[in-house]
Amino acid sequence: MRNKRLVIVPAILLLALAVAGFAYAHWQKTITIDGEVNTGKLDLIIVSASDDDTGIDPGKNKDVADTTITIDPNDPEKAIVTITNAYPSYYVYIHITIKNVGTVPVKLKEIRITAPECIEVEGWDHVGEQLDPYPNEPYQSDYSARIHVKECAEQGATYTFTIEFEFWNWNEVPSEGG
Amino acid sequence: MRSKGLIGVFGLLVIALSVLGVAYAHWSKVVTVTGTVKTGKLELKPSCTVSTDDDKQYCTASCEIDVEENTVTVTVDKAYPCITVTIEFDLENTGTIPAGLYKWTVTFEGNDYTIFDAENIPGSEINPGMTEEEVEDALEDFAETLAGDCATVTVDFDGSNFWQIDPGENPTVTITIHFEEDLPQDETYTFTMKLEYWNWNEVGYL
Repeated sequence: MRNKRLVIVPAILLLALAVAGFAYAHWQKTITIDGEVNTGKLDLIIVSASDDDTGIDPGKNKDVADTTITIDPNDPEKAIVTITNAYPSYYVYIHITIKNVGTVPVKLKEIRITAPECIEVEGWDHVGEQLDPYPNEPYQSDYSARIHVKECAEQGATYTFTIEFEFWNWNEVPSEGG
Repeated sequence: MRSKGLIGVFGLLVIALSVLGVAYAHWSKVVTVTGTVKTGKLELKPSCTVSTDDDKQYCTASCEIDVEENTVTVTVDKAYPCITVTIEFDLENTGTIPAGLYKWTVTFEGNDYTIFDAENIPGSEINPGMTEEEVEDALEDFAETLAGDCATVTVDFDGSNFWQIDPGENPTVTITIHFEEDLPQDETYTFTMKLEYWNWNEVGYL
């Protein structure tokens, strides 16, 4: 019995050393792949803005109300419309040109309008249409809206409205009619 | 059976994450147009003066304006034959929007008369297609029809245009009433004249 133990102990010792020896004995080579992903940029600016009240009020015979539209000098993603001395039935069309100055194509997802009851604002152009990054055509497009003062407008009042053109990266917006 | 259940749960998790992935994956940019609309004011301020040729002032005449009610009341008291009352009436546009005459009505002795109605121009006593002289003649005929043989009336616009009054304009009309011999004694006559103006662009004929 004692002899058997004397045999087993060295055997286990040898086996352990053999395993340890194997672990330390292999050669190795590591191949590394370094990756860098530079994402694109979705960026749009308004490059021009105009309105069609350039004197005589649109559809009328006198110059009574006045409309101005300017691009915010501190933020070219914004335009500011100011209509003064408006009256019931006065309407004006405003036009802005939006240019894709990013690196990713975009599509107009939706136009959101917020306006009080007595001011009617409509915008409808190019929902679902694509703008490619400059200089690929089409990299810019014109968007219009109509502002109409309704009969319920009060005299000497100030109303505010907002039109938001929301663009998404093109691949996330379904094609027009599809 | 148990492993099938685990696979099912895992599959659903993957689908749910991919759906969330789509929902959150888009980039967006909002281009904004903000607007302010300031409306103007339609405001007309009437005024009048009245006088008689009665040097001794037995007959008196006055003109009162109620700014709140927007009415003009002319009162001629102790009138008698052969005196002349002259009323000068003007209407100043103190607002910022041109005003167009929409309706002109007269109530006399309980009866309503329409001198002008933009909705019924052919049925009106006067219309914008008439010359100034034609309008004056039509108004004189109308007034004398109401007054019978008691008075003769002359109307003089002197170039003023009451059809459309632009901001700052102040058209004037002079109405002269000469009481005739047939004027009855101890009578009171009242009349109310109402001129309704709208913003000019809503008055179809302008």
